[in-house]
Amino acid sequence: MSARTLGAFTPNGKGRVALGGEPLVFHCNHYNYFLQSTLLLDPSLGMADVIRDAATAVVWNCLQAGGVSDRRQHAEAVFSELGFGVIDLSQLTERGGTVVTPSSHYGQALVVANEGKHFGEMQNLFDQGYAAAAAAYLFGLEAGAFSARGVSCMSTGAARGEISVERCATPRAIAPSPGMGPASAAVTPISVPSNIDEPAVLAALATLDFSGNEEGLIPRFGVILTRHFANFYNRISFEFVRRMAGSGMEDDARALLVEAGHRCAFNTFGGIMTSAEWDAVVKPQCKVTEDWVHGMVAVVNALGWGTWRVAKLDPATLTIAAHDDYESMGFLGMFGTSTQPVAYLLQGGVRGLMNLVYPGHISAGPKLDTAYYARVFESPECFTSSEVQSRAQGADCTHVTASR
Amino acid sequence: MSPRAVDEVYAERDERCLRGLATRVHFPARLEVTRLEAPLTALLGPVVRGTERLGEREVVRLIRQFVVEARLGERSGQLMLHHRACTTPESRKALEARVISLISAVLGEAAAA
Repeated sequence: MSARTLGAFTPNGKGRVALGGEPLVFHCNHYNYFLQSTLLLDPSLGMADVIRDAATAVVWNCLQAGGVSDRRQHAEAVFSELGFGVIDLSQLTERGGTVVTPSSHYGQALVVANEGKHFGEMQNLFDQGYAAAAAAYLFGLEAGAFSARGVSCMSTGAARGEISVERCATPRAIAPSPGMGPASAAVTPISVPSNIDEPAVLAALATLDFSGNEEGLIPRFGVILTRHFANFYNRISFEFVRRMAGSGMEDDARALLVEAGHRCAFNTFGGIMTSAEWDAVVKPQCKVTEDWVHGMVAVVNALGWGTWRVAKLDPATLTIAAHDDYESMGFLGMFGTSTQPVAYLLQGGVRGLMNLVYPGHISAGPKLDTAYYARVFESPECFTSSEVQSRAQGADCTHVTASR
Repeated sequence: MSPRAVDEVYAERDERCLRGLATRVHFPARLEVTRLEAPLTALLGPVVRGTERLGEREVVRLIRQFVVEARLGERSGQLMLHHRACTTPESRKALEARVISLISAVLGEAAAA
């Protein structure tokens, strides 16, 4: 779309890309909807503030490191480029002001994911955190200098989003983002042969335009994408689990995060594997069923999630070795070594991939509707997954196995 | 325009994932998409034209800002309309009807030639 001044996108050579030092990952509106709905299920957890502050931390970090002279243009451009919508920061002063979002992923695309129904509560919490970070960045202040609250949101039926930004008497403490996190071991070469030419797939995808359109949205693969901040997802997911500790439902909380990844696979992987892009670039290389798994793994390696390698594949089992998986890297950067596996999205994604390819027969081009989801993804016969080795626990890379 | 040409052109709206924001317009694969670009450009008004390579295919993107992106050439016999989120369901349906009518007319002209 139009030329936007953004700062540089920096690949790390292991499947991750950073903007302003903040790693970015592609995720769709369905994942964003299900994840946020999960986190907000119990208002007593106070997750709305966590979501706002997680946004503020990553956005402030990203903008600060951008090295762009026109700060307002920069902050507005990053919002649109990454698929969050359009944000107007022109009314902000050092005391605060009103921020307007004429279009918004969280305001509009979550309604799409919610079967077209509006919400009772404003869903633009990310936008609010973004506005607070942008205000601090505009005036050269620390991340917690402003607080933001929603005034209106398109997710509840308003014509546009409005956010009230106020200068804090004392700057709030905002948990910092770890950026890319610690360095990790080199990525191993592809070891399980297939008919998929992964470098060719990555090269083809690299030519496609994944920037936000004039509405700041990214409709691709039959979903609405965001090129989001990995450490935003990490902070809100890990904090959700932490706040559930001692409730007796901590395992349920983890399972819900895995389910968010499972739904992500259904919508995003399913959308990709039925897309024109897949038909043109990957499908011609698919000679046997297993190639559909290898092909999707190749595409995943363009999403910023790290580098996936197929370690084992047969019709009943898939083991993925994930190098630099963004969840483990984020956990290590935020908290150090973990006592438990933390790659929830990865677990759901690997399970979902196998469900699509084998019981779901995605190669036959099924209609991906709710009946399909119930039949394939909620069947007792569907794949389950487990994280058998975790980078966050000190391993070189993360291993997830899906089996049935 | 022949009745047959009308029947062969129809819209398939994505009501699941995109809730009507994307529509695939089907037409006979014998109609080359290159024949559609000029009349579609005239129909949409001022557009930004771009191209994208998908494997062996070249996709033409016609973007009428804040209205629609039409993608030609992704698949044989199909045209994708990505409606912008700020449009209304009524305006999307009206645009789809105009596109169907246009393609049917082009198809009829091709048959008559």
